[in-house]
Amino acid sequence: MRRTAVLTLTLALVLAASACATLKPDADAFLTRSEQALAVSVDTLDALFILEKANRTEMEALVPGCHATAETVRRKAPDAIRAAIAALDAYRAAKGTGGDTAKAQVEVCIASLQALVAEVKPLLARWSEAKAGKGGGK
Amino acid sequence: MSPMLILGLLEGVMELWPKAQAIAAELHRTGEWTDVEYQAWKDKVETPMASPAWQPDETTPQA
Repeated sequence: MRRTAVLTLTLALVLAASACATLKPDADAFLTRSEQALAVSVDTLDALFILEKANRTEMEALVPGCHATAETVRRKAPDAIRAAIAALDAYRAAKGTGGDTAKAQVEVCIASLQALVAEVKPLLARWSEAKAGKGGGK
Repeated sequence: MSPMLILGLLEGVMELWPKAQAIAAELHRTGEWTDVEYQAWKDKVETPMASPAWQPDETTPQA
C-alpha cells in the first residue's frame, strides 16, 4: 500500500512544516488560535479516520492496537468537537463583556479535543516507521 | 523510478492535497472568523462527522 504511506508521510510533513501566521493587530488572538486548533483537529482526525478505515487490516498488523485506539477516539471525537463549538459559541456571544468563564470553558474543551488528537498522532508515526521497516510501500 | 511508482506517488499526493491545503490555509489565517465564516464552518463540520470513516464498528468493544 504505497499510496497510504505517502498519504501518511505527506500529512505528517504538512503538519510539521506549517507554522501559524502572525495575526492582524486587531485580531482576537485567543479566539483565532482556538478556532485554528478546532479546525485543524477536525481535519487531522478526518484524515486519520479515513486512512484507518481504508487500511484497517494493514494498519492493525503493523501497529497492534491501532484499531482499538482509533475506535475509542471515533466514539469520543464528535462530542468533544460539539462541546468545543458550544464553548466557542458562548465565548463569541460574551465577547467584550468580560467572558472569563466562557474563555476558560473554551480552553478546557480545546485541550480535551487536542488530547484526542494526541492519542492518534503516534499511530501515524508508528505506522510509518513500521512500513519503512518492512521496505515501505511494497 | 518506474512510471507506475510515479503514478502511485502522484495519486497519493493528489488524494491528500485538499486536506493539506485546508490545514495550511487554516494555519495561515490572520484573524478570527466572521460570523458568516464561523457559521459556514459549523455547517460544514457535520459532514465529515457523519461520514462512514467516523462511525465506530458495532463489533468493536468499547474501551
